[in-house]
Amino acid sequence: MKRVVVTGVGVITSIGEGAENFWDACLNGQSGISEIKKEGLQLVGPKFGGQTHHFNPSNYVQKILVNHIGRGAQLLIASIRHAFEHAKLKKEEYGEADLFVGTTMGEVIGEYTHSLYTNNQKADQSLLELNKLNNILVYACKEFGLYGSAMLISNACAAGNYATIQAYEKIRNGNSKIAIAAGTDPFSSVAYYGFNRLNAISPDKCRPFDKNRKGMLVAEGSGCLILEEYQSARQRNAPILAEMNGYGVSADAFHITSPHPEAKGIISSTLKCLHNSDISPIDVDYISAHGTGTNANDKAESMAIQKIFGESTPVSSIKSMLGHSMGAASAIESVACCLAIRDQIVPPTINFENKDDNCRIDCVPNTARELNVNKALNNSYAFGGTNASVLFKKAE
Amino acid sequence: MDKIAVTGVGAVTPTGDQVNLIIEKIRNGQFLDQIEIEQFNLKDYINKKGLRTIGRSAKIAIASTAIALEGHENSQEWNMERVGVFVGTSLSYLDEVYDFLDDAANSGAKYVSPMRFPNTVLNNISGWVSIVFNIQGVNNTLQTGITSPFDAIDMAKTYLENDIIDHALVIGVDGVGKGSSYNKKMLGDGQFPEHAATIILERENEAISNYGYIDFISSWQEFEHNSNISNKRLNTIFEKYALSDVNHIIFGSSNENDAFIRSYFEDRASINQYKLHSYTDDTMFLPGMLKVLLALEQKSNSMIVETNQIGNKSILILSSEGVV
Amino acid sequence: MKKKAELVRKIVAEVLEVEESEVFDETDLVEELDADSMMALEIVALLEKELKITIPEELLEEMTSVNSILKLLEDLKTNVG
Repeated sequence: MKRVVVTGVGVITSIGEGAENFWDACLNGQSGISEIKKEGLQLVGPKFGGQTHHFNPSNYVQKILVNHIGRGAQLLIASIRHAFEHAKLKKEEYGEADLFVGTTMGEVIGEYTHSLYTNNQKADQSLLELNKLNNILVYACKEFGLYGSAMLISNACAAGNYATIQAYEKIRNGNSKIAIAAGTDPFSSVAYYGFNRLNAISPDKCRPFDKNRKGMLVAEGSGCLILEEYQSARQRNAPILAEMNGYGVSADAFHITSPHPEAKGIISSTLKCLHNSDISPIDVDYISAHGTGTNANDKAESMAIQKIFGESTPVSSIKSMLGHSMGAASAIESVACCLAIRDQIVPPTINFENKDDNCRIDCVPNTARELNVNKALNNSYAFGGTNASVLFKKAE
Repeated sequence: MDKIAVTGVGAVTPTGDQVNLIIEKIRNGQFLDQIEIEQFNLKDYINKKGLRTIGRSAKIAIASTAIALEGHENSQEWNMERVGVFVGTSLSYLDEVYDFLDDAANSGAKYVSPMRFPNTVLNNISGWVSIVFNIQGVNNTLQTGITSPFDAIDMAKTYLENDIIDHALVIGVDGVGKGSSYNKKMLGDGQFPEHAATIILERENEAISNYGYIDFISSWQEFEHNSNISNKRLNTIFEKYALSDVNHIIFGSSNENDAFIRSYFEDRASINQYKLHSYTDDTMFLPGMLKVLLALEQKSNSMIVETNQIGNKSILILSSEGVV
Repeated sequence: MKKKAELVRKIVAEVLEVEESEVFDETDLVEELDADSMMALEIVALLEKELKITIPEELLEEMTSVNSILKLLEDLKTNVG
């Protein structure tokens, strides 16, 4: 089995574009939450979200007409471009890369049907033309001239981790030397209305693990990791941020939107990840939580963490700063894990004011913390009860 | 490494839910006679509450999976923590989004039915299958367009080979609701029957009986429209496998790649081209899993080729005992 | 009031997939009819749609039977009126 390392990362987020801009803002506990401004979107209560207002796709999309592609594809192309640069990859080196992309809502963002809300009209067949999901992949392949495998994994809020797992297995089994693992999601009106209808959105801030947390915030963005076979990376003198050590997956088989009340599935994916990585809970230095800020998730997640790790392993949720960028979230969180290993410092959970007895964990409240980070665990849980945990370690 | 065996099949289509009869209709060119599964009632396949308002595609996927599980010798004894579900779908999400937006338009976004939102989340089909059948190993949804079912098989094979799971339920499904259907006048004679087809995969040495093996699978992107360049890798794979190992080619994606494949195999192997849909575009419909059933039904080493107009390509090589 | 009771019973029976005759005024929707959180939300959504009202999220857990739902609706009406 081959060793798999991360040689470059890229992100588009509400707090910064590109790895270093994002990471600086993240360590400073900067919030990317703002008042939602979206054409055609009728605000039905919650006013805040994590849009990337400053994102200009023309800065990144060079080969295709920007107006012809959806925002999901634009965000993806942008973070891939950042990641290639971060990994110091030349075109002749990345053409053969396999591409695995995760998403929750894809291109279906409803904005083309804004007349529905203002003029009370029905959606029509043009929705089809403008919402073709696999175009996200196709445009990325066209933009960069990629000719390897390409898969779109729509595993909702854990999709980024699943894309990373596919990329990892491809390289580990010797079927590939280089793979791109990414997640992307534009700000979705359907998600906004839907989560609101489930009473899951916070009226102001996202406060993961806080006693007075009121829910999540819908956000957008993209995250990308370049994974390479270790010897191949060494041969081209690639920068090596971290090594991927293993993963665990599970399914709750319980409910389409709510996590299992005893965190059965979450515990399962975490334990499988530790087993797969051949490590014990004590070996994990930092956990990047799913931490959406909803009552149900944070309670279940804390239960799982307490049960497996106890109460002292540092756990933080960068969704406190970004909101929930859906399919991009776990990819961005993996990026944070790799940078935490590189720089030996972990990001905070911001907006934390009051400890919750149901969340007895160290959530690195409000301030980043310098730490010995040898091994970092990234957990993500999604609708349909699909769970994925990924472990990164310092490459030796 | 253990070979991956196909140990169960199930399907629900407008022409029925018995695999032999479905294949007969396809061979006789009658598969396009009907587009919708008439009088479909999920309760005929599984008696479980809470499924009333789930999406149509989720319902037919559950039905085809129920058939496959019932037909499997020891599915009752499986360790559900080591079973995975892998769904390949293409456009069904549009039906759910249409229904959601329709409801929002009629009732106001504030009063839209909460149940409709999870239906729009792309992985709701695999989520529901996992809930209904208590599948705890993993649940995955692939939406790479027309190659989605093969991506689902590819992913299932990876998890099986790496000993993460022991059984995989792999489903290819698409619905034909308002969101995904074109008006007839826009499509011309385009039709695509809604369907769900499930196959069960497991490692060979643990399978009690099997219908065939997944010998090779690859999905890739070739984005050039110049067909000389875009068929380069198809050509390479044909050279490597088709001439020696394969005696049966199944293809037919209603696009320009079909002509290339036909001309390559003109004098070799038994070529079969199946009209499972007549409007392709770049994402529409997935006949992939139905082609797998076709391959399983004959004693053969079959190569299935699936392509679309914008560069997605998939090849699956399957050896079959013809006992389906 | 009778009309409202009929409406509530109809919605509950439809969402919980039981016969209306199985839904008595005091039947516990969770314990006896297996209502889960999603079904509860759906019942609320249908009531809100039919009656053109908004039911605050906090009141969901009080909706354990037809009678308790009817009482809740009465209280809401009083508060608004």
